[in-house]
Amino acid sequence: MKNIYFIITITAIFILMTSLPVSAGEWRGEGTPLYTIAQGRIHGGVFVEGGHGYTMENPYVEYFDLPKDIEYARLYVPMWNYNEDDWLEVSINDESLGKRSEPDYVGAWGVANYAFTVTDKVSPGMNRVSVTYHNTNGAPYSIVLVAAYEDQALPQTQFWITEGNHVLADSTKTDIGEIDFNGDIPTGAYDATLWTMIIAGTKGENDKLYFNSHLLGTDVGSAKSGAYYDLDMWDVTEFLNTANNTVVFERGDEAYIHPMLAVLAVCCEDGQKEDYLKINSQAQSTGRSVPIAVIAVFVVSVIFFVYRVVGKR
Amino acid sequence: MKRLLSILLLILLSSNLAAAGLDTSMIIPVKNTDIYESNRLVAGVTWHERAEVVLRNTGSDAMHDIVVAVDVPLNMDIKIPAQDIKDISVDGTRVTARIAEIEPGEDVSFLFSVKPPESIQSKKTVSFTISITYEDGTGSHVTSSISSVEIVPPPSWVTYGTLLVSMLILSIVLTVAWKFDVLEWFTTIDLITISLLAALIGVVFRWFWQTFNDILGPFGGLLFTIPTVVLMIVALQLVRKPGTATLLFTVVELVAMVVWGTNITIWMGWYMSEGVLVDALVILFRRNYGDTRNAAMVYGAARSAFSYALFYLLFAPAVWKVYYAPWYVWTEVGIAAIGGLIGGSIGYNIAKKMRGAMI
Repeated sequence: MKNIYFIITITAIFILMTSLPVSAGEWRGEGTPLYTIAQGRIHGGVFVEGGHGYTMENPYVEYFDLPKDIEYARLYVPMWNYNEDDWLEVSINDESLGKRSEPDYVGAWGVANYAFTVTDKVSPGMNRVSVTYHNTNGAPYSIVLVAAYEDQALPQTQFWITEGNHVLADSTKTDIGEIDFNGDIPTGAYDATLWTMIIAGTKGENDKLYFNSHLLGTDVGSAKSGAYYDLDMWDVTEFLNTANNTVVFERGDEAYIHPMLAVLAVCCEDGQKEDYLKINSQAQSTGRSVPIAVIAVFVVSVIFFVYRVVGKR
Repeated sequence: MKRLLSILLLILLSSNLAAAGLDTSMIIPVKNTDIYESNRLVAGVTWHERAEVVLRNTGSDAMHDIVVAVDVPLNMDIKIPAQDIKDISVDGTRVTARIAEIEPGEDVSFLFSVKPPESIQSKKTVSFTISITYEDGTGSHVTSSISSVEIVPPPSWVTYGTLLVSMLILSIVLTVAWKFDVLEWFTTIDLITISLLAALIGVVFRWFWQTFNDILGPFGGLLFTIPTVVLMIVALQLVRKPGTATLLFTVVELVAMVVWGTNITIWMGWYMSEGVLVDALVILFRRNYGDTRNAAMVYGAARSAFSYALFYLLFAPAVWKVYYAPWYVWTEVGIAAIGGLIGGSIGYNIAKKMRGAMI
């Protein structure tokens, strides 16, 4: 009888453990594939910069030297080990954006990405962005700023900003992350630049990055820009299609990588079409879950040990 | 006596004349110094490490036209990140920053990043020379200081050594297992028991730890250490064969590889060696399979302290190229040992009950 109580107790602990309204840090699934949050056409350019890897500094500070006339700006703070009691507070030039807890995108074991629209918060010239946070065993991987700016002296630039947090992992057999930059490229496009951000890449574990099926690089996620952090810029002019361009992140040998950002900017001959900015609604991060393997192992173990107890009798 | 008074007078006068005073320091790498070791760079890292030079005017007069030159050793590649101070440049191995003014009591700092060398033969201490010229009410001044930084060899040899040791341990274990028909000693029930306990460690409790470790803050590791030791003692008591712990931790790693995608070639040695240690202790304690509370606690503490020490002192530098601050390492090892003691004691009670119910 005592043994039955013992098994019931263990089962109850497990049920309690899996049903607590707790901490995310738990398995958060495959994250959010990258999608277009904003696109447009502007006489001006696109600014993409950021740094500087996982250092556990608190506050974590990064500077951005911005041009004038920012039409749209989006700030990203990728973060390791998000749990529900955690919070972070972003300040731009000492103006707080307020404390936030819930990240915009979270996947795997709490690899999170916080996104902020900061068009009205940034200024021309040097901007100091500071992230103060509470996260017992985690910290930011980087601070990255993407901005589309107007400059009538410059030719027209067509751009797509895609964001998310796609968990490409061996454990889930998710190997490919594909991003579509839908829309026609105006004739006379002469300069195309792609920026990509990958979190948690490891040097020597060969991933691949393709643009319209052309290989841009291998081992792109190799922590070049800082610990666990890669922000790369690619000249993709020669591979540009006239419409619907595509970027593919291939996990390859990496145990896991998290593509979080891809921005495409194409310079066109001047004055072809009207400038515009289209901001899409933000995708909702998928919910957390207990991995099937955890449930399966627990259930099989309980059945086996019950069998052994019953078998003895 | 006259000479002494003259010297004192000279010191007093000169200190009055030097109206601005300058404190200079350099922080490298710019990381959380509570956790990471300061003034130590790892050769072979893929990224540039940030350095911050901090200047403080400790005097009572403003200083101006400050020029700071930092000579970077070993021809390390240098980058200048965006920052408040804009007049900063690189010429060869020299970083030069020009600062208009520093008020009394004010701190001014600037950043640069260096890429540690790909490899060096052995650990060496190098010097970053910081030369500063500035002006204040009393005229021009020149000062310099040296910041010593230790460059440790790229852990590649440690990585390869680790792989080699992993393979060596694996080969020895497999040879011994084959030579002595070790697997024949284990019944099917034994093997299933070990596999399921290993799966509980590698899947269920690893998930549990990953999920809830924040609750206990710096003691979060206990959420994995204690259940692991509990299940290890259960395995020892139920199976009662030499090699049980080694088999258990080998299967933990295999399961972790399948379920979580853990890199088996690098981590296998780490997992197996803790099993080998426990099995050696079992032999040393005359085949005591955690049958006494003291033995169970010793096994738990030894396994946990050993695995944490191995992780922080060997695997973290080798795999992640990170050197943790010594106090942090030994605190973690100490917490792990305590977790092992607790797990051993709990494991002894649970294993005893399970043995009574099953065998």
